[in-house]
Amino acid sequence: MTTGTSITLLLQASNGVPALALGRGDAIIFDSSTVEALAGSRDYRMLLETGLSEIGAELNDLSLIACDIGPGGLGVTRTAAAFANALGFALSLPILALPAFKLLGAEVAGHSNGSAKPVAILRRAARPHVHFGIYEPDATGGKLVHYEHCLEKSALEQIQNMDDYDLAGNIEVEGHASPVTNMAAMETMLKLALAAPTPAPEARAWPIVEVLE
Amino acid sequence: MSGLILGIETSCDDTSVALVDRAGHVAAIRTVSQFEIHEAFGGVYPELASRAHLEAILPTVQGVMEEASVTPADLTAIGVTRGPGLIGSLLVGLSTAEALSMAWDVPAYGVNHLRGHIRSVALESGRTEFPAVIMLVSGGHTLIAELKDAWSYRLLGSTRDDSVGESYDKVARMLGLGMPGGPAIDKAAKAGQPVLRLPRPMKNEAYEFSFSGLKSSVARHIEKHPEVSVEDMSASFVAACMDVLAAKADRALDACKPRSLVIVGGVAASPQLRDAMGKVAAKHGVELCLPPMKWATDNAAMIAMATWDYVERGLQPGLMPKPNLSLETP
Ligand SMILES: [Zn+2]
Repeated sequence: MTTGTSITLLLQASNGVPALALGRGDAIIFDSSTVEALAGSRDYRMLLETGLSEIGAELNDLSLIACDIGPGGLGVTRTAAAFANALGFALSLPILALPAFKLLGAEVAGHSNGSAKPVAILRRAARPHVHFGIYEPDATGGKLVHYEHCLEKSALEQIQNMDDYDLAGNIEVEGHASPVTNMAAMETMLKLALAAPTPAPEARAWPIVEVLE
Repeated sequence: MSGLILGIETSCDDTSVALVDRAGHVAAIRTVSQFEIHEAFGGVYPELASRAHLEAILPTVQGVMEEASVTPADLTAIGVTRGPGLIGSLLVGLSTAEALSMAWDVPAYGVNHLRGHIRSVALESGRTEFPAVIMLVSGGHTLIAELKDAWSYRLLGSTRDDSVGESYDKVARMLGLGMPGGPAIDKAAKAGQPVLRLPRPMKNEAYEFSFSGLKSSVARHIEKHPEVSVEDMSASFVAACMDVLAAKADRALDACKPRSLVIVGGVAASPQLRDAMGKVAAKHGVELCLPPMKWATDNAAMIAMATWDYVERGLQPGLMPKPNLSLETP
């Protein structure tokens, strides 16, 4: 790295809406999801060019690329991973892959001010399947303790057995408050990216695959 | 115009990357097949195709660049298939090209895959005498078009349902011949006689094709007569396909009066098709143009070759996927 302004590039996609952010140190300095004119664009190149020019940085200032690998929207998650991987390849940067449910769990646990409730995460897959995860908060942040691609019925049965929980994702559970959110804030993503072990030099993003038997 | 074009093709189930110069010389090409991944599903499984493209594409790019000792500075452009094809697969090639284009500061062009097939003829000093009539017959496409020159095309007709290649694969499966179906059926057909009566769908109607009815009547025949000879059924099926394809080619040569008849696509490997089209071309006194087999199936060299046309015309379609892109849209 030739410059002291190391920038982290963050890509999210699996909730269906492409979003790109840039962080300097531990602060988000550009976030496409908060810019009305950019929200909903599927053009990661345009989002990145806009972000870099807005903060007065160049591609070579990037020091880390973190990419959401789902599970979630097939096309947009592949788009983000392919874009991130090729950028990492061309710039000789590794890609830090972050599972969406880890992001969502950390996001919701962060909201609840230390209530330490587990987070049940449900995301729509090809019907009648869902992606189902459980995130356990702890003193150091928390971790994703369960993930499976299963029938919606099976996920709901497992949720019924949980005492108390916060809900995240994009599926309502009868008798429970609506999901807190289906997208982690870029601040949460940056925090997780900076806390993660440095990825191997040629690490790439491999989206979580949904294959029906 | 000097330099090389990096071609990227991910429209279906092969990840292919190539470097091609303006003269059509292929400096390097690598193609990673997903055949084994999809064989178990009996067809291309889109989610797995997309994932496999993602895994294969960067090592493949790196491989061709190293093989040809090429750096990004040697590239005139990147050309990538934007359609037609499977959306999840197209997106991987397009997003990869987008990021490479940005990081390497090389322009990227979204290319029509069908134009790639047509321009495959020009690879490695191949030539076409224009005007031409072209028939594209493969697992993904069946169409016939008039080429006024290397750029201006008029679609005469295409298939309303299955492609020829698809029906070969399906019939091969019905007959227990395994995959890929084309060579297996061709081989069985050579050992049999076309004695079974099968329909010639849409043979007498202009230029449109339909093969699903033919496939269904093969299925019905096998159901009624499970003892049918696999060789005779193969021969009869191939004869029906060739009859239809030859009739359309004959009609197009009559109407368009071209100087050559070009056959491209994977089914061009079929000896029966080569034979049938040779006869049609000879009848009309036009040159039959069959590119080498290695360029007949989906590959990135043809995409790079087609990209040169866009570069020279200053036409730069964006990198948005177009799963249903038609031949006539550049
Ligand atoms: Zn093709």
